[in-house]
Amino acid sequence: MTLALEQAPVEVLAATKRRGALGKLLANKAALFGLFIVVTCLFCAVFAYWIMPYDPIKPNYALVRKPASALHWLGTDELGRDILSRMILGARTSLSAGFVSAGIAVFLGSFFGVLAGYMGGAVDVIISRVADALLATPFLIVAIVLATFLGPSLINAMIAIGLAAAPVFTRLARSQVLDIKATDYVESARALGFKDWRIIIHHIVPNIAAPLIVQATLTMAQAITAEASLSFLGLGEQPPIPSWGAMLNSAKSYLTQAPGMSLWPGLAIFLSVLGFNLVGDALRDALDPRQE
Amino acid sequence: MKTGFLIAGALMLATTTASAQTLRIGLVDDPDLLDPAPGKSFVGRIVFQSLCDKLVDTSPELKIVPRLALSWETTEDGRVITFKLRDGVTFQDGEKFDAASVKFNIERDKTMPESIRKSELASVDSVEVIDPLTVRFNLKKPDASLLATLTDRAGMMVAPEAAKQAGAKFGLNPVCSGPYKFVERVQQDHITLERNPNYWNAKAYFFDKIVFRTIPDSTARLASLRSGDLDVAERIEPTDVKEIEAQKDLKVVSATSLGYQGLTVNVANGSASKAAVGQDKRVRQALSLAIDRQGLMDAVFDGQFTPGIQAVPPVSPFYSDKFPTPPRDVEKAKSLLKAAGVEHPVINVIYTSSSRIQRVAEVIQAMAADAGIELKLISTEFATQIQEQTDGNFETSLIGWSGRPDPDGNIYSFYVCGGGLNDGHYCNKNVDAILNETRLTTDLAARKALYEKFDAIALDELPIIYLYFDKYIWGMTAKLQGFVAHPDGMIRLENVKLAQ
Amino acid sequence: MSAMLPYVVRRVLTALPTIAIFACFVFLLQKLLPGDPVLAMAGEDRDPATLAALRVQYHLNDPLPLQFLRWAGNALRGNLGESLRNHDSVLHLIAQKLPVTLELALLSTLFSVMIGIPAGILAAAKKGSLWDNFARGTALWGVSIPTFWFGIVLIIIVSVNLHLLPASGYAPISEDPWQNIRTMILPAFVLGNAQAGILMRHTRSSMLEVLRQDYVRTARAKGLPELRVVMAHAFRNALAPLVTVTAVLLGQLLAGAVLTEQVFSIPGFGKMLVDAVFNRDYAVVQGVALCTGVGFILLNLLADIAQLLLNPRLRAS
Repeated sequence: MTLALEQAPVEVLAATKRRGALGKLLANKAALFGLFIVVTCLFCAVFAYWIMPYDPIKPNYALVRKPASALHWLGTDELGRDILSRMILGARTSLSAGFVSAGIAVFLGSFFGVLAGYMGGAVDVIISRVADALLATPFLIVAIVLATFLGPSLINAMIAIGLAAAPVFTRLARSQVLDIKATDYVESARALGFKDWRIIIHHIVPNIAAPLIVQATLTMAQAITAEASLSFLGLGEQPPIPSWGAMLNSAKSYLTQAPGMSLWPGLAIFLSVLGFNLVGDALRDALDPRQE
Repeated sequence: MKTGFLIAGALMLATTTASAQTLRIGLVDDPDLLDPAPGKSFVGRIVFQSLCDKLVDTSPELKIVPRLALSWETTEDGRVITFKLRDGVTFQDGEKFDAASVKFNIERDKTMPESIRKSELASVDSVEVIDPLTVRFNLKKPDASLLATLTDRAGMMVAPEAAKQAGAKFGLNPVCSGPYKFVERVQQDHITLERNPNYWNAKAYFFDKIVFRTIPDSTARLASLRSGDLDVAERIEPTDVKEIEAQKDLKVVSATSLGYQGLTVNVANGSASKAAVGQDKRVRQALSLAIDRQGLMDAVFDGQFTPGIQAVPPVSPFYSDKFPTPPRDVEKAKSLLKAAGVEHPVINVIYTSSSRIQRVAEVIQAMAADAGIELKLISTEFATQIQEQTDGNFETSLIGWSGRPDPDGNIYSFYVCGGGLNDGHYCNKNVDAILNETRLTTDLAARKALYEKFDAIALDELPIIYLYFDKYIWGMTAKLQGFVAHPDGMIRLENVKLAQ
Repeated sequence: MSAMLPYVVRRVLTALPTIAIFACFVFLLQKLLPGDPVLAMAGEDRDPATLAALRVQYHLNDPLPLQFLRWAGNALRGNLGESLRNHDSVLHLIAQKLPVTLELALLSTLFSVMIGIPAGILAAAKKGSLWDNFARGTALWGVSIPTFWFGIVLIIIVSVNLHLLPASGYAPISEDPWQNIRTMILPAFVLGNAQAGILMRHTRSSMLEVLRQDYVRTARAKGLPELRVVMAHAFRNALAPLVTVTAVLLGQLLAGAVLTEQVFSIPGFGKMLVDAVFNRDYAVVQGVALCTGVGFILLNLLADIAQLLLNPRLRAS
């Protein structure tokens, strides 16, 4: 009986949220557009090797910097490689950077944030001070130093970006937990003698998930741009594997001779970031229980 | 009274506008310390050209020409060089330049804790003042490359009194002997020099101020040149040459560099040298043959740079016609690999990421793949790459050398057993013997013959696989007259002026 | 107001351990980097005896905690050490670059406020309409365009083709204010554009929050014109969290916009910091990081105080 009592309120709340959320999401045109973009990028990333028209890696000196044509819809780059193929494969790099970095940031950051908010006391103070210190360090600098330390590679860049973005989630999660700690659910659950970790998993996490998810989409967008910045400095995905940021960086040298080269990766970065942001905004609007 | 002021004012305005010529030069990096003794950077040398005068200089044909030293005599045994110095020269603070100043400078180069000229001047035992205009260098052993060394930082003369007072901080406010004196510096932004009216050849220098600006991004540097915010930009990317030539108000001047870009192989430095490429010269030869050097030039540099397999570029008098750059031969490469018993070697290549080197790396990776060689590209940054080389944590390293006028500067420290720049730990006693002999004579023909003997061994064992020689490409306003391109990449402003 | 003083003091005191942890963290971070700074400094020529002597001179062989304590001790006395690369005092380098970075940060924040806040207000007021999407799109595109690329595009269009502004050639505001503004406009715009999206989002959500409140409904019911409702009633109350966000953005810009500075040749902190990391110039990295970290924390403090002043209801807690 007590079990049912405990779970029922949460489930009812969650169910109402879900129905309303999905409905709202689908009605929002901007969100649909964003979703479309995200799904397209995901599709490219997952099925890259099946849909690429040409080899994205092998240079072809005869075709250096050719403009768009029937054979090469987006033209060729400075080593004669098909830009469209490189863009499709680049989706894999950029999206990995987005998902993995944001994933690291969300889980690591939120874990410590929940810990700090729930435990309070000395644990809270220590975690908050460290998070503040990390937040005070400029994001790109942390990413650069970590990426240099760990060695230039996509994985290390993702770890670096994830670590640099984590403190935001710590703060966010902590403040959300503090809000909820004072509610009746948690008070009564504690009074009933439930273990802390059960309280956290069943009561706290579902209720703080929404803002964290929204922040995560913003972090994903920042991560994609950060990966581009790191390739500018030579850290990040290593050649010859393409990433949109690295493609943009190479194209920068040919802006006046072949402006088309920059257009496509730039557009790809812009659209993917836009897509994530729109989905994030829509999620927030939909999941926010206080919306009419 | 008033008219007097007006006229004076007008005159001042007239003279200042007429003669206030500033030359703005765009550099690729920020120079390190502006002190020739500890100075390490290439761009620092560019600033020194205008800031500090030196004993001797190089001509565009790489001949040694007089500067602060008017003439020199070497004894038969090559162990004593006596220089006769120019009279009437003063440092920028007025102190007189004489033999004692030369002695001071050489000793400073050899003894100052931060000085890295020590190994360059290792052959100098002592410097004697014979009379105010005669100075004698006593050498421990003959050193044919010493004169060439004195055309660079080791031969630059700083003001002794100022140097003594400033100590290690001299570089923050250098007082030197050149046509332009130091005014101010903002790190990573700009360095301003102004005309030294007491320079012995002041009339050959037409600018009043030189401003060196650091703009590392090549596109930004080119943009500044095109927008008119710079008069000269150094090291223009070869792929930008067409764009500059298309502008009526800009022009391009270039010279083949003394320096090379190549793959240094780890043949004996630690466990990484146990890889096939480090142990078997046939693998190295295969790699070298798999690369289409001219194709590399065409693909990455619009054909502007010069392919090469020797340590010195074709412009050097020591370049040997007996060893031309071979064309690509994938079949021979494959058969060499087969003979070596490793048909599909995997070779690590470390390199410092820059857009240019990145492309070179990608292209040679693709070329090597055709011969069955898989190159694993590991991009890193400069400090790490140097560290990895020193520690032996590499199989091959894609790295360059800015080059020295004397071939000794491109070869000695890289090939002798235990050489300071020999990170692959290559060691061959025969090569050591040949290279040591090249230092003993100044006779061009004899040295050339010795270097050919060296080439025969080096090109067979290939501890360094040379790829190409750079070109120094300067972009500048079409109004700049008298700019002479030197293969050492330096900007010499003698007789350079802006047409009106 | 006097009640604020103990609050301020308390905040400053709690900031001190944060700064200490931060300094420690930065120190450890760069010591973790592979590569010997002396070797990095050596450039092309490397003489082992010289390198060894330099390591001793700069105490680079000492155990790490000792190196950190030595640095900390000196820092507390105002001596931030010397750049390994050119022996210039770190304090002097910071003094040269701080005004530049500060100016760029302020100008950029000005741009982001000018773009982001109106966009956010518009988006919130016309929620769900085309205006909402347009405003959001305008602000978002800044977040998604990599600054280094956007910067180069602007230079090519504005400086090279149109000759409207210089491509480089920064001059300090004390020497040549006109040239100073001319060289700062484009980079400030690029950076401001990048931050505008974040400000827009926060403005929009804060405004939405406020627009739902009862007193807004009351104001509308009273028949007040929409513009007045939005600006006079809603916006003023939505302002508080925006101050925090703006302060955070400003603080992050203090670390220097690395890529923008590189592309526009602005001699600020960002470029110096990155170069110092690559050159393993420890003292410079420590000094600059300390400066920016302290600045960031101070800004946060100021923002919190401003928030309290703006929103008396928060003072109760």
